[in-house]
Amino acid sequence: MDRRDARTLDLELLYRQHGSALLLFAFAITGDRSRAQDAVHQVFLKLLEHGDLSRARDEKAYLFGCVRNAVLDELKRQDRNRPLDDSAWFSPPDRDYAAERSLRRALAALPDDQRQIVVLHVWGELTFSQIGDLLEVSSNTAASRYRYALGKLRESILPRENSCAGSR
Amino acid sequence: MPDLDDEQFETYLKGFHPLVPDALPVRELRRRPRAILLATAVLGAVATVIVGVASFRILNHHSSGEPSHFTTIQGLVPRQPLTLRDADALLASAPSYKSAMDELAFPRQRSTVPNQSQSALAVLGKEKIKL
Repeated sequence: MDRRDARTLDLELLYRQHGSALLLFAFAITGDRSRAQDAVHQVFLKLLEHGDLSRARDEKAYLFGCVRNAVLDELKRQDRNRPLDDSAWFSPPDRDYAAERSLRRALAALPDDQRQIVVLHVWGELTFSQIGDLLEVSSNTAASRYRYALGKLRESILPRENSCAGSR
Repeated sequence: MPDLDDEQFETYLKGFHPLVPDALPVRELRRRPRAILLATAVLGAVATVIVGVASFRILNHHSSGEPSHFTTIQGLVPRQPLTLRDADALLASAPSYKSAMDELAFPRQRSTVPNQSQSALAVLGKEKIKL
């Protein structure tokens, strides 16, 4: 197996491992599934052609950074204030699509930076230090924004859950 | 749903799995079979040329009249051609025409049996057995 094949296999593995979280992250920035998909594909295809992950200190954080840059470059060219599309972001537990919709709307209502931090920490499983490096803020700032966003999400989601529980 | 602390709420959120992205467009993977096909075609062409040149040389070798492996193999069979002179000499020395014909059809083989002993096959051949 030559070096190029080994690198391709590594990238395929990374795509399988982190593709979902990367897509969600791109989705959280663009609000558009097809754009998000394009951004993730663009990053991996560039890496397949002439990229080198061996120099990246942290492969996963590097991939999130690449996807963010790809999405922001794309947004510069297009309408940034485009509303979020209504397609699903998640596969919900117990096929509770109402809960999925509720979570998606709650996430969409968050400011961009908070939404990105929540996605990166909860589904991307990045530490606050990694998130700080990626978004160019301190890890403390990332952590406090996360806690603030989590509180808002809980307020948005729990009334619905409580009302459901009360109706039973 | 009871009030959840941050950790429990995080766990609840993680229960929602992000959708799996579509498969990567296989630009890279398409390139490889094309390269393999090209290499196979080149190897096939080279093999054909080698076989063609080898066949041509063998045919030329035959037609030039030089002894080949086949003639050498045939020559392993010890067989002298019958000439008119040999046939005349045989007819002159043979006691009868029939014995001369027998000698021509079934030439005597040199006996491997030493002079002092007898071949059992020869003795049996001389005996007259009535069936």
